[in-house]
Amino acid sequence: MNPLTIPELLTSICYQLDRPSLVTASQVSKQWSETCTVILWESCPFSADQYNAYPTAFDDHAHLVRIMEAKMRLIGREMRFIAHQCTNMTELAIRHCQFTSASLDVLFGGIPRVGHLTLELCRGVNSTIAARLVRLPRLTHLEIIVHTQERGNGDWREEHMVTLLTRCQLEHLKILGPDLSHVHLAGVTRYENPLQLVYLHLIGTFIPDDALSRILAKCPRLSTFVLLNNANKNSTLQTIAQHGSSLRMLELRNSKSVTTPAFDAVFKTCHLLTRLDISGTLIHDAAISTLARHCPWIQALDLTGCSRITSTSFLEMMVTLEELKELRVGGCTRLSIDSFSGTVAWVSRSRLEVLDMPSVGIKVEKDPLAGLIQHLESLTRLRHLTMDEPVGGHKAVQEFMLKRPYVVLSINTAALRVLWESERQAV
Amino acid sequence: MPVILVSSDNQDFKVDKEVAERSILIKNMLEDVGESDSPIPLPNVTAAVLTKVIEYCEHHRNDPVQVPEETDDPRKRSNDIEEWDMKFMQVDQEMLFEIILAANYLDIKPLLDVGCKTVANIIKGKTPEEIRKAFNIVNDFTPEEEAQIKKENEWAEDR
Repeated sequence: MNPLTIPELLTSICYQLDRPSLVTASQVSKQWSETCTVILWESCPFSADQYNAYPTAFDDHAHLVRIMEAKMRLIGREMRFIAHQCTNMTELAIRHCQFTSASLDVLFGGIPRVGHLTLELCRGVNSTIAARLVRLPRLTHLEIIVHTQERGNGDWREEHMVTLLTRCQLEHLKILGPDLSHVHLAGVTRYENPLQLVYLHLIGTFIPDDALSRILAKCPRLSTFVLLNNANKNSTLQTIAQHGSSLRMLELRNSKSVTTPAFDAVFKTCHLLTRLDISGTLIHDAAISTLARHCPWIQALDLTGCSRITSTSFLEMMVTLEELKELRVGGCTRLSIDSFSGTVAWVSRSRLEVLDMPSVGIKVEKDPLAGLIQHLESLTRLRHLTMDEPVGGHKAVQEFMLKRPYVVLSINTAALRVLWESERQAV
Repeated sequence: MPVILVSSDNQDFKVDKEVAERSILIKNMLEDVGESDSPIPLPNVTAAVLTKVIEYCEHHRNDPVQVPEETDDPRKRSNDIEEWDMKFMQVDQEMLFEIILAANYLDIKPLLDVGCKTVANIIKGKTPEEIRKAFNIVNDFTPEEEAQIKKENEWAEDR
């Protein structure tokens, strides 16, 4: 065995090289190149002259350097580099770093052009960051993912959230993790201008309905709204219904305690929806009928694991949703062969591209599959089909696949099993 | 008390415990089994290589044990190799590689360092093509990729 083929040993050897030798060695082979480039950037002196001579090289590789430095926790020096040298940087993603308020000050003092900022699982990042973000005039995209150990310690304060929402001109905001259950955001209502938000993504924040209502009321341009792991209640959906008429995309996965009237309210207001994810909910036929009647523009619909839906409302929906391109109904166990037998023609049959239908109550030993095959043949644009093993592995389906070689068939039920388990626990 | 090491080709080597314990792998093994005279099999090391490794450990038996520090900065590299070590490493390339692999397996950090420094000294001053030739490495770059890499690392050539 040659030790040069073992990455760790090659790395140890390359650490013994001086800079000119590293540059030469980086031209030997792909493996050598990867190893040497990392070491070169690690030993980079980051001088202003060098930066001015090769600005693109520095800006392109700043990402690589950041991640490594973060692992080594040499964050102070790194921050100074970014702040002093990468002043042209427009996108910055920092992951797994440990910040102090001093290093945050250095960083935010030196990145005036940053438009997209991601702070992922960084220690020492809490809502006090809002005051610093105000100093970035071009910031439009912000993602903050909070370390689980830092969530819920009360660091995410009311006044900071108001600053973040009203004084940064954010269009795209994703917040994952911090506990916002105590904020009310009355300050947002007092702010005279509308908020610029187009995309709002709140995960695991348990934001209360009044705060949500105040945000949504101020966001006339909001088009995408994702509210996950938030213990969504009927009142949460009523709040969305009240202000969400501009929404194009809505994701409310696993909102298990939501019932028909709340779903009805959302579908009646949000009639511009093109993408909707209500997978893992206990939505009933009645609400699906409302959806069919009020949301004609839906292109992508995820009903995975909605085990209360029957063929009746499903077929009603399939004769009205003309634009449908992606349909996911895996694990809708109350559907049956009738839903997919082609006796009722799907109005979107010349558009549908993705059909996800494992475990939809089709029993190969009893149900005749001829109708299903005929139906699949009517879907002229189909390119991705997901089925469970008995159906997908059946001779008739396999023969269909031979005739339509550009359709990809996935046979996978593992993900669904997880969904069912979680449902069983919830019930 | 001596320890018996058995090479992959079944030769026994009797060495002082102090010498054997230059290898962190063996040191940990001895600590795990406690007092025992049973021989320690080293299935990854041949007798020829083990002879060299033991020679190194004998010479360095009284060196202070290196404590791996967290602040150990890999950038603080020194290229100086002790005179004795330099002579010790004057072997053919195959043996040099075998020693590195054995030092890595047996976890003898100073020997691994000396081995890596020796290889690094072979690399220094060579062109990429000479390096490939010296170590039998296939050039898997297209000419465009090679030019691209050269350009990307241009900044580092400046002083």
